[in-house]
Amino acid sequence: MKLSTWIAERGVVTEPVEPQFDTTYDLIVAGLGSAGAIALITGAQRGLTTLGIDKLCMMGGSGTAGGIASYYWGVGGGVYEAIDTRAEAIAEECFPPGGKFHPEARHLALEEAAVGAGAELAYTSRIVGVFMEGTRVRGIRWISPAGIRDTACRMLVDATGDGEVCGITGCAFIHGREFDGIPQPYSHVPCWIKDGRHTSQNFDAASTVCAIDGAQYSDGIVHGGTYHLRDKYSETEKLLYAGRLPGLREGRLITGDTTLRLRDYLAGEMTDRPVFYEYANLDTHTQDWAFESDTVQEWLTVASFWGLNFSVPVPLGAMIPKGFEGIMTAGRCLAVDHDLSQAVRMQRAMQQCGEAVATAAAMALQKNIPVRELSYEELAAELRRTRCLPESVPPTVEEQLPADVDAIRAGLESDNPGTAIWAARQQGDTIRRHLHAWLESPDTAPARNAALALGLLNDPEALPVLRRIIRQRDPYIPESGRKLNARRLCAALYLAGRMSDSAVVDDAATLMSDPESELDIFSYAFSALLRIGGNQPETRTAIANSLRTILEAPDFQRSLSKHRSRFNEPSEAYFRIAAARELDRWNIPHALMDRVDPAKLTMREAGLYRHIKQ
Amino acid sequence: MTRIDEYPILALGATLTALGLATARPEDILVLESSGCPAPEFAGAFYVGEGAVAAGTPQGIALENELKERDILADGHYHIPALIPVLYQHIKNAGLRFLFWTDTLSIKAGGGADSGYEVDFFNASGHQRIKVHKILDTTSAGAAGTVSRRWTEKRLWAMLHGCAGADAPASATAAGIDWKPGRFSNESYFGLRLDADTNWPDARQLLLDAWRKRPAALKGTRIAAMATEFHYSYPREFVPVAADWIHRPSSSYADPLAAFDGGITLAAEEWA
Repeated sequence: MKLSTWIAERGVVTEPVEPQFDTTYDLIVAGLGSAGAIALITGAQRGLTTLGIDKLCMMGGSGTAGGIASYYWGVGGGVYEAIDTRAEAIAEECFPPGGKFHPEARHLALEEAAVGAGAELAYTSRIVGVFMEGTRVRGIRWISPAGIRDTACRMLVDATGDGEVCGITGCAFIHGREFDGIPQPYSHVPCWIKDGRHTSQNFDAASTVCAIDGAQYSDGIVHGGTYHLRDKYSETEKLLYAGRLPGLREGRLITGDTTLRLRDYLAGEMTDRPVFYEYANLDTHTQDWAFESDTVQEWLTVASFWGLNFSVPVPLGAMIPKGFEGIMTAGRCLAVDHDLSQAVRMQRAMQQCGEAVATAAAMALQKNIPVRELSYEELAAELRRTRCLPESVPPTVEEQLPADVDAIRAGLESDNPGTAIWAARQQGDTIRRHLHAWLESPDTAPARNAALALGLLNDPEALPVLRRIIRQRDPYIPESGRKLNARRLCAALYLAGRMSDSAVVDDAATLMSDPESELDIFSYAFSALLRIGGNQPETRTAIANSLRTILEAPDFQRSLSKHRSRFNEPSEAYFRIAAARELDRWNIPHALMDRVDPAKLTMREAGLYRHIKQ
Repeated sequence: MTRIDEYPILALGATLTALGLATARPEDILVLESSGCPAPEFAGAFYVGEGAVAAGTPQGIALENELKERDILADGHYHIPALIPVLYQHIKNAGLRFLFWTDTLSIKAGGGADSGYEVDFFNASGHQRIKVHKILDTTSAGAAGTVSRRWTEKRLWAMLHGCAGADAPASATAAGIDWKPGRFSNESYFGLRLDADTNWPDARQLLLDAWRKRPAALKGTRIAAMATEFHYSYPREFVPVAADWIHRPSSSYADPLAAFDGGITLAAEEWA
């Protein structure tokens, strides 16, 4: 047997050992957040001997210690419903009103259920090593208040959210987005009693933290906590706590037997063997969409679909780390790509994830078979019985799109053109000639939206209208979704950049030069220039000159505006570093990095800087 | 393990005492804290102390003034959770070396005279090892397995929302519970003494039950939040664990400012 540990700056290290296990459990759940709590309760209720381990002294994760009590998306059904009912009763009896549920009441209800089902709880504890035979997990080394312990298990569930145990085990994972390695921003949530009601505040001004770097994580927590300082506190707004659990939205994302990708989902490639469903929007909290993937930008910027909810079926394979046995994941570290992780992470769905994983684990253990060999039909029947798998499923994206030409035309003419644009994208050649025809009268909504749809098809017929949108600085913002709709101008810049249209270089540079250009416009113009230069070598000198003129200027200023514009985070170094990376690739000399002080970078800028240095 | 950083002093627990020590000697101190918040022994435990004590050191007086200016402290009463953002700001502005969400795994003598200790800890980066010359353990429970129980009392506190009656102190005492006023008229703290081995689930249920049976003076209150740290009362004394390693729990101080001052003072003492 070997002990696998994660050593700082070395990664996974294994050493041969002969452990003396103090106990053996059927199921150990690491992390008792939204998914882990339900996994533990489900396992215990199904007759497994269970141990739940958490760094905190309470269950529930982001929904309790984290204070996120009003963002309760997903599909109803499953073990958690009874706990929600019990939490409601406790809240009514003991706590002030507020939120979709009361976080204190919820953790009490979870704990009642866990203890009542016979689960053992190990709080203020943490797994620091994993015992393995080959690729099979056999037990854990963990730190408890009583000291180091070695404990065996038949199944280990990593529900840490950040995939900490999978990291220790050596499971493959990704972290952050491709452009800069940065994950979504996190929320440093304060909880208050405000005018007699319990309230929490989703607070993204805290920027990003790195879930795999202890010092940065700690610095990020401190930085985030400073935002809750008030000039004066008062009895009408009493702080209860802040930062009990950082609201990380993205940590490690494992590589699973099945890894779900947004682009595959949008192409209609989805499992017909789900064990739970997510139902949410692509809930990205990044504010620089210009640096997300093409798939995400198509969705968020061109279709302006931030607010569109869709259902995602998730198979069991997304919770089984590829190449390993005796370990599963539950919660947001499941096998999705960065893009889809922005949707598949909501509390209700994660609770159902925990139930599905524990149910599968219990059935497999009780049959004494590997979980991979468990019959899907049997598992699904059981999950339907508990309603973890719902009888009726909210719609997928495809199911919300107009189908016929007239409906698409009407959609393109409306102030909610997103579904029409996306439908046209999906139909492709079937509708292409109609889109071409609708380009007439280029200053009309149908023409401009048709150009966006054609741009999604990489059709050069779109370019004249896209150029016009850019030159005219089209101010239009559609109403395709609740909140966070994207400017048509940004969509045009993105598409022109993606099609490497050198004709927009001057206009993009002009937009960047204009100090009145808001950050999204600036970012998309910047990104377009990088793309065009990357694909059109003859444009590089001119683009580099423009970028250097703008970004090397000592008075260059750009900032991210966060949290309803109450806080601004400098972003100058981010653009300089990103531009420097590109100009280096083009072998064009520059002085961009002369203006970058690595000691004074924001968390986001530091993330890009580290990513480049790797 | 390969790289080993070295520090003159390691402080365990992001307590007010550790903060005071780090404030006085920022270059020499590394502080490790297993949770994500400073002042666990006061703010995390919802322990408002036994009556505010005026600060005595210049740094303590500055902190006291800030707390008063922000209406966190007045007339000897604290709005105790608000210590947290104040202390985050202090840590950030002073550039103090704090590692939150970090667990101490082991402490081993370095071998040889004056060789200090090798300390292994674990956080999001994984296992790391540092060398330190002295250790000040300010935690309530003591580093795992190293400190025998010396505390005299263990309590769980909750913050209450709502106005308590004028006879709240007396009726709470009569009912066998602890009650202390907070900074604001609709803020108070409700505590229950626990047996030594009471675990978290039992402690919470006991506290809930006690609140359900609360005296009439507290009937107008609801539970705002429960603490996430037990409060341990300790006699205030240095207890040597080993050479150049002492346990001085910050919760042995009766007041946050006294604990902070205690850390400042410790920095100048021969021990440090």
